[in-house]
Amino acid sequence: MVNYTDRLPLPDPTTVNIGLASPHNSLLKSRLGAPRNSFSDDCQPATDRRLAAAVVTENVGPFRVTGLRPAVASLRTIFDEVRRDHPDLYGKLGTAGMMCCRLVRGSRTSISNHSWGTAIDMKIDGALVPWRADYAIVGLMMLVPYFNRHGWFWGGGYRRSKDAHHFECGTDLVSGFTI
Amino acid sequence: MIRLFSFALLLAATLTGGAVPRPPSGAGTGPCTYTRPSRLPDMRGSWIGACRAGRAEGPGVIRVAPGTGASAPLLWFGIMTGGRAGLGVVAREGLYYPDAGDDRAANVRAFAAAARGARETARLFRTKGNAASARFYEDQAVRLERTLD
Repeated sequence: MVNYTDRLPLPDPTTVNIGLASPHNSLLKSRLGAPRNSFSDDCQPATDRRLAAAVVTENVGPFRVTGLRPAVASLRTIFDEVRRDHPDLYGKLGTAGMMCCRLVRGSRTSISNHSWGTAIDMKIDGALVPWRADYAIVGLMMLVPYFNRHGWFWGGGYRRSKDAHHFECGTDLVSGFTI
Repeated sequence: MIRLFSFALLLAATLTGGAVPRPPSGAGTGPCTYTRPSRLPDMRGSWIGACRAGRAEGPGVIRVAPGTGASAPLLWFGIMTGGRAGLGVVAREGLYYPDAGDDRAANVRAFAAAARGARETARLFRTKGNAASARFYEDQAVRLERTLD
């Protein structure tokens, strides 16, 4: 029986996220707008009218999330595929959420990509992987190909500040969003 | 369940693979009671933090020593109010288990509370002159703060 929270070493970054890139704040702002005028360390709602109107709360299969409409739709497709291929894993999926307008901790200028509702943190059996851990867990590793196939960049592939439970819409996916 | 404060701690591997430092002698004033956070197993534990009128109070850490054969202690980082566990995060075998559901803001608050607990514990160790333990818990505070970026 698979233990989905068993730890695994992080793979070589060149073997994941192939052809994908993590979007910078500038791209997200240019495509989706500035979520709000001011940010803090706490979650705050988007105040930009166009962006706020594109934020939805919907069931994506294993849970409900609040995020940008096209990103949420993409998640539903991803989790449909996971349910088809790995029903046992599917039953253990949870999340620490998507949408949350705030600064990256320790920065006064860098905005979390969660501020646009285009990133999600995944729990496996309720577990999250600590920031900068040099390992992932089995359940997360099984999800990576599904997210990557649909244009999502995996945080375990960051060159620095590894973030193994974090997935975010890649630059090409974001560039195709219309809100 | 009400549990008794105890300084009977065991050395063990940490969630990050190193050694968990012992709390400083005299940290807190026992006996101190608290309710067990829901994500902690029903095992003997120790509150490292302030105690008011016999109850755990404010930010701190619960350290649960595992039974024979287990390798790592469980740590709960969070905030107590009148001996009742509020928001927090369990650290177990290198993973974090927040006391929160799927809501983003609730998870962010749980990790912020956990970071406060770790930072207060670091302060206690520093006050007692235990720099190594203070560094360990300060490192935990930073990890907890950054885990949901």
